[in-house]
Amino acid sequence: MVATLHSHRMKRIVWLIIITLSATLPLFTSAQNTKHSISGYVKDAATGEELIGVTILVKELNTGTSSNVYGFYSLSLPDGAYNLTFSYVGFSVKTIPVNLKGGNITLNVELTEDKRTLKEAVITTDKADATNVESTKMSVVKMDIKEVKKIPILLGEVDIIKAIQLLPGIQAAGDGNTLFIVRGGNVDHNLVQLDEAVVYNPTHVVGFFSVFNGDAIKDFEIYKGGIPANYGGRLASVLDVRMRDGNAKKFTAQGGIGILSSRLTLEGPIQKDKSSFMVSARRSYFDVFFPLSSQTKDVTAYFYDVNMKANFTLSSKDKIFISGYFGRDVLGTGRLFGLGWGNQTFTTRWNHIFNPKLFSNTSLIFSRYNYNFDLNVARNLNFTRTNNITDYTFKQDFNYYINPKNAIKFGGVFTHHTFEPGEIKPINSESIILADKLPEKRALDYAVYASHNSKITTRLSVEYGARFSVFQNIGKGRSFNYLGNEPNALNNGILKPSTILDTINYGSGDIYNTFTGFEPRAAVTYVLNSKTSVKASYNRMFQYMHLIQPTLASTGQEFWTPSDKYIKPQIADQVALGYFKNLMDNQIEISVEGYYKWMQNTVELIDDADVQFNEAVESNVTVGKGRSYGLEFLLRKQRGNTTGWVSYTLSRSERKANGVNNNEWYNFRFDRRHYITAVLSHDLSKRVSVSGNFIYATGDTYTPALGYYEFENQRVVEYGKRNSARIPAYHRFDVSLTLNRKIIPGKVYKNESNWVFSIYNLYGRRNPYSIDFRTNPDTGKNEAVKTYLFRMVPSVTYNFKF
Amino acid sequence: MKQLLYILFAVVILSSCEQVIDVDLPPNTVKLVVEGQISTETDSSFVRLTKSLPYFDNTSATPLVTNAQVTVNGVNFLHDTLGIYRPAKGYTGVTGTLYNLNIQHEGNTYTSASVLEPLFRIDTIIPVFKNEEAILESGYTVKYIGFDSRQPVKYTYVRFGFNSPEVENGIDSFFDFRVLFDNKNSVLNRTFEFEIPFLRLESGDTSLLIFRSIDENTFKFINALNNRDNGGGPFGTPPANLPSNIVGKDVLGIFSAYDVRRFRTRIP
Repeated sequence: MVATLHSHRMKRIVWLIIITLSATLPLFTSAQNTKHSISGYVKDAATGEELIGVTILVKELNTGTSSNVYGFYSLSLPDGAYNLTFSYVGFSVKTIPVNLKGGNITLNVELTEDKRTLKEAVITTDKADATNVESTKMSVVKMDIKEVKKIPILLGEVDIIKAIQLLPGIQAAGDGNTLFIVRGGNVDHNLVQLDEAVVYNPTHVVGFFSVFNGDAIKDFEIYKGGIPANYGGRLASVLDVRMRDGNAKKFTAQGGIGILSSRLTLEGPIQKDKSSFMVSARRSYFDVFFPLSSQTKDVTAYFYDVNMKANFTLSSKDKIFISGYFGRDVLGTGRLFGLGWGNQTFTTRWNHIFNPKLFSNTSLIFSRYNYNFDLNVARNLNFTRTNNITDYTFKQDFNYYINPKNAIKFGGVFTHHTFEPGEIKPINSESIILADKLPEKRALDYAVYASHNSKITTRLSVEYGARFSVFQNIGKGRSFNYLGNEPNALNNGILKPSTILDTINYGSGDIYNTFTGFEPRAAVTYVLNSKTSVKASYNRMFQYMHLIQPTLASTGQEFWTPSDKYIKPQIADQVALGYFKNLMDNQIEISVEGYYKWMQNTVELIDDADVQFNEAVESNVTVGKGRSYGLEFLLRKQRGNTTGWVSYTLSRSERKANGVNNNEWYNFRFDRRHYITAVLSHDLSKRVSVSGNFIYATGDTYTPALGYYEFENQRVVEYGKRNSARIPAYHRFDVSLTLNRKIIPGKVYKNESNWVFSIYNLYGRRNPYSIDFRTNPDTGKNEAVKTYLFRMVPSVTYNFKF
Repeated sequence: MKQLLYILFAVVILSSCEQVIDVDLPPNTVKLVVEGQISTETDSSFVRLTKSLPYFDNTSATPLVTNAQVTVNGVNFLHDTLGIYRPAKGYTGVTGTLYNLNIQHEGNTYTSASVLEPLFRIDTIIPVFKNEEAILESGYTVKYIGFDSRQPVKYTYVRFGFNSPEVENGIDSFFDFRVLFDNKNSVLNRTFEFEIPFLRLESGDTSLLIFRSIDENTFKFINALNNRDNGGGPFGTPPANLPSNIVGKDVLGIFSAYDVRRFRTRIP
């Protein structure tokens, strides 16, 4: 049955892809005879780092393009003389005259960082570009890492995820948390990638810090809608983070010493302007203070991470990148218990320019996440429990630049996943805990995609495409048959696991479930005038892997499980409409976006789910659906001495699941009606800058107590409808002050340094993290107790670079 | 400076703080609460009927239901005291029996059922001296020698505690956690030993162990109760009502038939 369905749908999808691509064929042929190409890489003049998303405008033809994620661009133009303008946020605009006559031109361009002062900025006549108005991209946020570094952050730890949480539609899953939710999706609906490798748990210290070291990151983008066809696998968003390549011009070192951690980055050319390396390491050291208190003297708690990257220019057409990330968290008390988790990724990429119009990227990627929990209560009671997920991925992407008006992206990806849901081993031979291992699960995950970006008229641009994804469970593995053919059933209004009737074993290489997904994507932009446009987008996303989290907040114990006979792929459809306007020579960007998202087959746990070391995960999972919708307003200024933004999000997100909340719709846990952020940064002088953030959010939901009763002489709480009450509103104000080194005019400095002082939650509001109902053991009275985490947190960081 | 940083860190990170707050709660419907037990110990079976109270009602005494008609497999359980209904003297639960509860109260019928499963065999309890290790001080624990042949999966609920002649003045103290296990991965049809890992008693104390065989519904009910007690806070499991096996309108609680053994072992 699955196979027939699969082949019918497969045929239909293959046809759709053929039709889609053949529609673009006339463009291929008409484009080829009359034009020549200008192509090359755009780099940072100071470091040789390739710049992503640089706008390249051909003034004479009023057309242009932008550099891709590897810094490559290509323009096919009729022969003639042109002025190409290269512009990028934070860099001076550069205009280069080009005479295209009879042949292709390779033009590698270096842009210089814009370091003007207040006065100079006022008199500048350079125009910023209007990419945000003209591009078909919507619901996407790109931030410069320099902008991120100015934002005051908890304990001074520069964090890209905390920065994006200040933008509309992206919110923290709890105070100070780096797990995030996008447009009402779950935390596992976000695809987080570092140099194309999936990062399964992007957090340190149970969520309070992200794995991304600001010094090692070049660029990142987050798509919350209108997700292009080259991404897939998650419902809500894509956070695509790229590591820096390393300075190809000279050897430099930079680092910082903060309250929480210290970091050091070394980088330099291997061969000047051709190849370079970067190594960046970070370690927290709050554990050094633990021995000072008798309460904490046995506590271990630290994290570290290392980012490494090297790139080699083999020829003008070939570049190779090797990058890796290794990070780990360790938490424990004495020998009693220990907890650890970490991600490892390794990416090898080969960029090849087949011809000035055809750019190729081939990637081999490894990604692994592992978690361990050790308990050592006594000589005869101890064990270590682990769970892991390991991926091997091959990915091939092509960018075909037909002409400045048409570009095609196509490619494919193949991943082999191994899930090791749990293994228990006694620590010594006396332990009464017996060694046990849940069977591994394996899956194959493929996708092919194609998308076409076309400027149909000067006003109308479209990007449309599709992704066809396939997910297969592959042996060696096993599955269960349940009484009633369902893994759980309602009994007196309560979902209970069904009885397992028998076990089916699959041999090595046997494919025992196949799922396919056709994922159309489309975005259209209509430019009303050079400053204003309206945009619309649609995307369908399939998610074949699901995070099983038994606790409210992340504790590291959560694990990923694949779609199978019982846990179907999750599907989301999202439409978004937007209005974009730029003011003051594109200095100020205004946008309003509305979205509606439908989710199918969402994975919800049944009450008191028993998922720890339980092979029958599916019997503790119930299928649901979700809907979320909202309006997002953003006013942003990215240039000049005063930068920042103000945003407001009005939204709603709900879920419904079989056997949960009497099968009625209920609020998503992080449903927040209003979300307001204001981020402002101002350079007072070359030396001193100040920044501030303000956040206001409607309180999160919780399940209220209704009453209580007695059982075995103990009070038991009776709860009301799920997530039907709200904790008080969340708000806080953070400030920071950056003091750069004193510069005496005319003097040359070999090094730079600065001090950053910041205060998180300046007015010390006790923002509730959760609300619990319990009986006070001393008074015997029932209480509602809020837990709050971060009151006023000051911090200081010293950064240096030489 | 170090001290200062330490204090800062400790204040900020280590001690997430708690505060009692006022919240408005939705109105509560009063519900019948059933705590029913059929035990293999003679004259230990009872059904207790009470009513739930609004969560913040800290002043009212637990409302007792004294006028219901309660039967178990046709045997009348009559109101004795404090909402407790008992059968006539000499009543003993029998293993392998399906017990059906029927309650008539204020025009409503409430029913439930529970199978009285036999407990595994426990032959003897032996005190064992343990040296200091990990977080545990030196002292006595106990081990039991048992034999289990029951299939399919059977569930056990254990309460344990102690009686110390010096400290407790003759009153039993139970540890406030409940231990639940099943025999899914147990060795069957062979004598086994199990040493209780956490217990540390002194000479002269008496160790207390109560083993009950329970059905799956009771297992899930007690397990959920454990989750509520141990959980809570941001890192706990999401709160939910305890899964009742009583069928009827606006009712809470559990009806459980069980086989039970109690052991008192004096530490030498």
